[in-house]
Amino acid sequence: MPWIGTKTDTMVNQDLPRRNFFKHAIVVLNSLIALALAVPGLGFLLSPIFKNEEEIWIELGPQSRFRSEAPQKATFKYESTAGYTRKVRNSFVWILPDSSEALVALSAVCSHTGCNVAWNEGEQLFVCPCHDGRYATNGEVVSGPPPRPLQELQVKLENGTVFVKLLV
Amino acid sequence: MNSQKDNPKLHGLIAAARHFLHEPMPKGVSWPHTFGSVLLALIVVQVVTGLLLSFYYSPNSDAAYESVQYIEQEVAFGSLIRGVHHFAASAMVVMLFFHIARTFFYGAYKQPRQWTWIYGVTLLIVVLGFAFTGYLLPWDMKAYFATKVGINIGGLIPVVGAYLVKVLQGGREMGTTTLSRFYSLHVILLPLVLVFCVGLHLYYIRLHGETPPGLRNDDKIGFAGTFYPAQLFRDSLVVFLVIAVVFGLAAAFGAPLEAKADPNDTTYLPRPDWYFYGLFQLLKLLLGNLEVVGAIILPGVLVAILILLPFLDKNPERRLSKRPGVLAGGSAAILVIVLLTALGGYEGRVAANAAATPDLVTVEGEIEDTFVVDPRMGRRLYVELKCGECHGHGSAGKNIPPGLEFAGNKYKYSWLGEYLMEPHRVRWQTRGLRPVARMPDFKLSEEEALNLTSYLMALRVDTKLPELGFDWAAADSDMVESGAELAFEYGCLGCHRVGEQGQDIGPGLSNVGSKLQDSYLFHIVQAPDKLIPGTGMKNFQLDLDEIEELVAYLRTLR
Repeated sequence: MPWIGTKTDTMVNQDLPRRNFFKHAIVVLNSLIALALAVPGLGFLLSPIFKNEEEIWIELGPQSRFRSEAPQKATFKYESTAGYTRKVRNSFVWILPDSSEALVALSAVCSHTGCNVAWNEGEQLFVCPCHDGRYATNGEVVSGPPPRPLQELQVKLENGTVFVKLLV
Repeated sequence: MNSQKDNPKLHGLIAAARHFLHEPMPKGVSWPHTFGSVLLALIVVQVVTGLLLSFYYSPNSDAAYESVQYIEQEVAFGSLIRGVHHFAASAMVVMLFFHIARTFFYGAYKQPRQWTWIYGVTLLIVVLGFAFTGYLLPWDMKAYFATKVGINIGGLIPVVGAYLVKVLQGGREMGTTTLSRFYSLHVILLPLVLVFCVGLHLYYIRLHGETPPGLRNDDKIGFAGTFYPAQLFRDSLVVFLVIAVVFGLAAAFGAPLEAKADPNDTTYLPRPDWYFYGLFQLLKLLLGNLEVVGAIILPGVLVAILILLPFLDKNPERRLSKRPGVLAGGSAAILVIVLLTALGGYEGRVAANAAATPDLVTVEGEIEDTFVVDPRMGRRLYVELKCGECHGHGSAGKNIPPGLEFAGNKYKYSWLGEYLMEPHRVRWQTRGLRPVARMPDFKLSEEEALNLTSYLMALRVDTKLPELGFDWAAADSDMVESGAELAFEYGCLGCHRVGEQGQDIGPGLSNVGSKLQDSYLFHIVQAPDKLIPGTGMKNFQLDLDEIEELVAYLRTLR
């Protein structure tokens, strides 16, 4: 604090070591107070970062349901939690035509601004309604603004039932 | 650099800061002058922690409690931040007390500082307003019922009371409208008023300077240095210590959060936070028509005296030794406030302790089985098991299911504990003319049953059932015998069963001595319909000697 303690200090005679101790103590004490508030306060605000979200696996049904020629829409309900509230939401993913043994699930969320893409039977492409982004059957970008392919979701099979891992 | 005007560093904010820091300090200004700075620092703490809490809190009666729970359990540092907000509020009340007492005894309210004082008293009211509105926000049992009591006190004001209640509640009943009102008051309106009053308070302090102790108002003031660094150091040190204590308490205890508010509960005994104990105690002393005196008139007069003090006391003398009247009056007021607050706290503790009389119950055998009986756990069980569905709202004063509002005056601890553990062994079913509904067996463990018992035993209505001076334990066999004869004469067995004799119209009395307290037996025999409105039990208009003899007999039935 260079701007403090010039002229008026000479108003009275005080011994310098005592004044210096006061000045340092003021800085130390108030810094400690500020820290005591700032550290927990910042942690409190940034709390969502430190939270470990648990994985959500959604049951889509028996594997036999997903054996079509075209990508298939798999709708499901899940419980979404936001803080202290819980809500049941509807959502869906795209299951790709079964070429090999493993099922492939694509997120329906466009990589551009997050609208849901739909399967266009005539063009044989996924088309995003918002900015006309287009993706091939395997999720690769064909045209339009999307910067990345559609995200592939983890899939697992348990006793013939398909589960998909939700992106959170 | 001879002229300060040429120095660009000495303009604007820096000049303002210098102006504050280089305030000349009169001789004698020292530690007692730090309380104001502590209050300012605590306001900053409350603003910061309050702002943080508002990031997660939801002022809606469906979500408020859950959001506070979320803060406590899920948010990083949530419990600490909420604890600091809670204890800093208490610290503000304590510091306000010291600050006002110091100002009062130093005569610092006198001309020309009357406006500093008046804005100070306004700030006292604003801070109590913060305490009152903030109390409701967690929407737990304590919040709900303490606020209900507070609002009802406002309803005691003649003429406008009923309207005030509706305005505060935001409707006919307390609910989500009350909550959003209190939230807006707490986080928007009151902070604006606070900032306004603090600004003016500080302005007048700087205008008239600190008050040196031990002078007449017209004495010449000698100066000894500036605010910076010596006084600012004292301020910083005291602020640091107070905030350290606040953080310590917050980390060690946290802010309390009871069960979610249940407006239908009739057994909850609301107690305000400690700084309202004085007022609470005053209300207990002044019952009936006098209530309005304790709730409205006395506090109103006190506030009026505080505000008008600079105009009532125009004596320029500030030395205490020359102001015996003020010294006596102020000390008496402080003594009364401290005593009432301490008494309120003491009675609360006694009630809680009485509830948990056998504080430590050690179950023989393994160490793991040792537990502490805690009425708070009992209260939680009461809510979880929904005891209030039958014994709460609407059952007040009834016999089946028994209302529990004075269970602590009625049952014996040992019987209640045993009954709650195995209700169907102790009393299998009701018979005769009584309804068939019976107490479910919740299969409580011994610990749960005793926790619940200790909570129920804390439910007392001593005004209805005062303790009696008579000691039946000392009754001789003659007395018991004449009591038994009386029971026969008055035809008690016409309704009540004792062993193989009697009817099952009223409650059986075979083991009434181990179940009910002597004083309860006395009161129920003396005036049955006073305790159980509409009961079939007749008032036999017995004289006191007869009742004493009857109780002496009844208590031997075990």
